[in-house]
Amino acid sequence: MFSSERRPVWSVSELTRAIKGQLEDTFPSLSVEGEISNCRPSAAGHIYFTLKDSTAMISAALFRGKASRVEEKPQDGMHVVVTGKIDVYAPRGSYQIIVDNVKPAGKGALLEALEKRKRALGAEGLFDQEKKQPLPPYPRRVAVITSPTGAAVRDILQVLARRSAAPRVTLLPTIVQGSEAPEKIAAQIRRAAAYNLGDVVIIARGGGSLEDLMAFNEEVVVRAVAACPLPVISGVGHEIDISLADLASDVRAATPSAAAELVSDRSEDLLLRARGFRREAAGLISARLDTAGHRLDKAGIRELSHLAAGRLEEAMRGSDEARRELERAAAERLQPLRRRLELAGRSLNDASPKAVMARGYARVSLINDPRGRSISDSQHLKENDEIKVEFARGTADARISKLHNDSKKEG
Amino acid sequence: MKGFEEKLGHLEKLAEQIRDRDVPLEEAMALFDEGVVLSKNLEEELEGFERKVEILSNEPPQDGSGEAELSPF
Repeated sequence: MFSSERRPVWSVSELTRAIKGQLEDTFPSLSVEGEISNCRPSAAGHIYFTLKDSTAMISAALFRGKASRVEEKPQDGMHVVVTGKIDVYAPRGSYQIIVDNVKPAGKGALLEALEKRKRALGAEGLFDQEKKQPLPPYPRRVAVITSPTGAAVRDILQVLARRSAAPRVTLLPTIVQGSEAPEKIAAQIRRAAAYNLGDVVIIARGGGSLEDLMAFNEEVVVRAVAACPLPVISGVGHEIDISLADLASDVRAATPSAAAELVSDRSEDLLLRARGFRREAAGLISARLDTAGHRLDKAGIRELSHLAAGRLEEAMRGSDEARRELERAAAERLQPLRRRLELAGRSLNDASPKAVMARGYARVSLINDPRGRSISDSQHLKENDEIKVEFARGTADARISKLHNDSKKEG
Repeated sequence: MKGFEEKLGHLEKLAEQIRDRDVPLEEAMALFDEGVVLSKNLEEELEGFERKVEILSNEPPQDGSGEAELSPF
């Protein structure tokens, strides 16, 4: 290979340079699987470790620039696949791998690493039930941390769009997979709290493989979730996938859609009940007014009834909600709704004192009663009382000549 | 936000009183008025936000020392 005839004796530097060239040309980029040992971070932020299997070992250097971006932070005992290139370090005559990325080796190893991390973080109390915060029952604003282009945000917005009492959404965009995802997700969680972007935070991602969901198993994300002063709902993946972020969150929703339901169900229920009052109470009032013919005994009923007609109509029709409802309703639904409104208005008009009087009834009051109260019971009168009789049109003064008290009392 | 349940409870009490025929009609009307206002307030509070979706369009410092920029999504 090397010409030893012309230069039988190498200098150390020359030999090393030749080896370096040879090695680096042969292994410009490689992946190697092994177990990490003797892992030692340097003060400068580089991480040095040894990768070994049962019969051999190789040194590895993970420089600062890459150290923050690798998928798996090297730790002793970890079974990993390291990607990088071979480099010869001339001053020490050693060769090593300059590491580009470190990722867990194989699914078994991945699960194992996950289990280990789960135990470690659990031991710190990050998953403790006592630390779980209750969700606000009626959140007005929710911070959603997910990919702005993913299925999760679409699902969440779709659920909320179907509801009238849904909270406002502030989306904090992030990537959700890849080596930079964990830090981005964690940063957005911290921002959601620091800038108070919601009453509650949803971290979401659609379903995926274990590897796809790995960002939500990263320590930095788990810690950010656990430390978040706002309640956090995790809606990551589908039902069978549980991430460590799920365990650290205050409430775990099986899917992004389920997370959206959690923040809108109670408000929606409340809203429907509040609206229900108007419908119910309006019905009760108009029923009472319907039978008010015999109740013209109360002063001011005329004004009340007049007002009532207007108010009831307004109450049932005036709100934005009802207007929207009408707009939304299909044509065949529209008709009966309008009809109900008309009927409600009409029955009120029928019950108004004016309408009653027009049917031939009159209102009686004592002339000397400064409050002009209506008289509905002859027991309230004596002979020779001077009374005022109001008709649909015009009034008359009269004097009581004889009383016929009826023992039946009107309730 | 806790007031919602209380308001709703009050609303349901009002409906109860309106139904009660021993409560004079004027009073029932007054209760009804009160209820309508309350129910509308509740409704406004619950749905009285703009239904826009916002997106955080910058990456302000995580300690809250900056300014969060929000734009329509």
